[in-house]
Amino acid sequence: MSLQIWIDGLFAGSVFAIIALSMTIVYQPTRIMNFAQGEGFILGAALGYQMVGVWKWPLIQSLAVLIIAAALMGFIMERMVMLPVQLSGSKFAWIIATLAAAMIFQSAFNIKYVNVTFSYFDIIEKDISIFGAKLSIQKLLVILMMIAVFIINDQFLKRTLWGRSIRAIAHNPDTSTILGIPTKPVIKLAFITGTVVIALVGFLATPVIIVAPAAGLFFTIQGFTAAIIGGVGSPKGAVVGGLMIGILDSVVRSWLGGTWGLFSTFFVLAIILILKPNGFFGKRVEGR
Amino acid sequence: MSDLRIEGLTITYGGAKALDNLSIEVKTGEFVALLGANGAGKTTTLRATSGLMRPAAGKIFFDGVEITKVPGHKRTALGSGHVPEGRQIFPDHTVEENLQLGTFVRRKHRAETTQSLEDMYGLFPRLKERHKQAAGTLSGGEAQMLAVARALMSRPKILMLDEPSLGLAPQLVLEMFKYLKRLHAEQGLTILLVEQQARLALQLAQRAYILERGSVKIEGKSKDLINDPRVAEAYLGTAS
Ligand SMILES: Nc1ncnc2c1ncn2[C@@H]1O[C@H](COP(=O)(O)OP(=O)(O)OP(=O)(O)O)[C@@H](O)[C@H]1O
Ligand SMILES: [Mg+2]
Repeated sequence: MSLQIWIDGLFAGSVFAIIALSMTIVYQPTRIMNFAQGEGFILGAALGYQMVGVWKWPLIQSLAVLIIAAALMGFIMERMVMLPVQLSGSKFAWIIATLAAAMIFQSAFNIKYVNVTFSYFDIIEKDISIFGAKLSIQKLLVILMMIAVFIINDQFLKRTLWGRSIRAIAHNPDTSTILGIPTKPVIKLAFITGTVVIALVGFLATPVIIVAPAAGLFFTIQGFTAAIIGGVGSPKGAVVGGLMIGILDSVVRSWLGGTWGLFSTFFVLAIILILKPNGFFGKRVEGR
Repeated sequence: MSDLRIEGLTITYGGAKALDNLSIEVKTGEFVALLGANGAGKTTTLRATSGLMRPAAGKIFFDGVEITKVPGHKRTALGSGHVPEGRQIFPDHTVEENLQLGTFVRRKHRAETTQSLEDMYGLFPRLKERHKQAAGTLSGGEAQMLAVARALMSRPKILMLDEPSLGLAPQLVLEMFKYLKRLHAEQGLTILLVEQQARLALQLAQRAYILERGSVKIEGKSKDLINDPRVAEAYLGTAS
């Protein structure tokens, strides 16, 4: 099997891993799997298309605007999700709230971009060659970003008091509050950080994969699948799960043809859920 | 200073009143007990004071400043400590991480918080032996020690404890209360204690409030209450 297939799989896997990581960042203090998360990916793709592709803005300026816009989207998303959750008290409120947020953002993208698919030129048009296989700088950037997001998230959770507080909030927000931990601001910040991360990968990956405005839920499901395979809430799990479905998809696709890629992903998901119901690195998920 | 004053506090759970125009006061350096039957509103009083519940009416003052609208986490920084009902330790965090979380509001003073950690280990050697263990694996009594130690890690000016004796062996209950008494006497810690074991609480505290259906029914000096026939009949009957 050619090395190219593995490199392409590594790239796709890194995209899924970053999506899963961004969902993990929101999950850590809230224990909510945000089904609207993939809309952040579309925001990155749409703004990339608009600013880099159409307006030909310089990179730095585009990035700055993207980060601000994504932060704003994260802020709005937090209100759309947490307000119903806090007000209703139902343990299923988060499902409806995050799906509703996904639909609202998806409609907005669809209205603005009728019949458009997002694509634009690589930001840095250059390839490097590894034993005859090609790896564009664009793809390399995504892989490096995945490694960076993983290390930062993992170390932050394990080594800092703030990281420990985030785990504490997930377990018991009231007790965290009486210890002086600013529970609600931390949750806001998690939504903002998660959205900025996923928007950045949307921005970086779109020139390679070409993205439709309505594809947000597809990316959400890929990230969700990766998180479940790896173990929900674990940064390590997000990376392992993401890489696994990315590489699997690429290998199976080249071997049996396109439609089998997605099939194999969900087939493996089913097997893993039977063998390891909490994923590779997941703790038992408490009833919510 | 660590005056706590609650004025006319009313709290409802979807229409039902858990607190009904409740007023209590704890002066700096006092040791006050909050007693009452199950469902009288003791836990609700402490939770409201910690900013976990939004009052329908009434005001809360700390050190003479109104804190009714101050968010809960900022009240800890002002000097309120709370050992919640049922311990509520973080089971997946280690014992030491639980204690460190208690220093959240003092996190910028590294040297001081390291010292506090040593102090707590000195007080509760059992916690030191288990400092790397997940807190969820502690026994009930050890978990209670951890909950008290964790609250003390923030160096509160006033400490509110919600039934700290629950589930502890009688010997340990005495030990813990002896320790609280010492903190009160030596360091001037202000204490508001919610306790089912009314007789024990009245022996420790200088004053007490007895709640009934969300308002104060009886209040007074502990030594008067112990001898009060109304109290003896309803609250001291079989306790201890
Ligand atoms: N989450 C809640 N939802 C609805 N009602 C509640 C809730 N929590 C408490 N209550 C009600 O508020 C009233 C006061 O409860 P609270 O927990 O303050 O009592 P308590 O004095 O601490 O009792 P106990 O000694 O049993 O701990 C009770 O009638 C209780 O049923
Ligand atoms: Mg109670």
